[in-house]
Amino acid sequence: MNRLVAPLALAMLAALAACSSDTTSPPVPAQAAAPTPAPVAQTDLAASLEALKADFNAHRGEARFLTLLSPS
Amino acid sequence: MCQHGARAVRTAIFDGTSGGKLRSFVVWLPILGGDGQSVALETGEVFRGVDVPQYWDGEQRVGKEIGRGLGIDGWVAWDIYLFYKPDAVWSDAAPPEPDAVLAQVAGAVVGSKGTLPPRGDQSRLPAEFRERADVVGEPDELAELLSQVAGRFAR
Repeated sequence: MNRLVAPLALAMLAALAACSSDTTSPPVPAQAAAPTPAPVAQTDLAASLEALKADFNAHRGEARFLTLLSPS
Repeated sequence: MCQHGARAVRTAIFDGTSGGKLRSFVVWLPILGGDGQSVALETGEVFRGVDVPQYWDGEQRVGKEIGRGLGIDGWVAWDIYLFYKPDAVWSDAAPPEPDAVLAQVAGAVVGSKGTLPPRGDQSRLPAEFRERADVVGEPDELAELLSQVAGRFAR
């Protein structure tokens, strides 16, 4: 929420400052903060391999590719 | 080494001529020092924007099941790339037998018998793999080798 509020507040302040300014400089448009992408989703298999098994079998009839990787 | 593998998968399976035409699954598991779920989430960003479910196998259960299925008891399979025919089914007992396998082993890319033609010095192959696999290339060729195999399976 704060991520949204802060840029909005800054934009409002910038607009107010521009309105009350004595200078003739044009107001600088507030930069919209780039949205932070959600982290990639990973299903935890600690309790069971069922999720992977079910997803794999859900695509029976298609060729499939599975890779096991260390993340570092 | 495994980030190299992840990038090769991205290139060969999703960005190459196969172009995401192969239904895919990525399992991350802790092998090297410092591996953890937070690192997996970070490295998993390599697959952002492509349609592939990712899983965290913190107890290496999938790795052990795959190793056992390939006939190497006690081996935790990792840095491994498995291709399955459309009729493959993961039973309650075990994962299905893959139709083709590539893996990075002992500084080489190895393939299960028949996956790709043997190439290079076969003496590099660890003893437990010799009856089952061939050296088929070098690590810097991984993306190209994956592309070759994926092309046979892509929809």
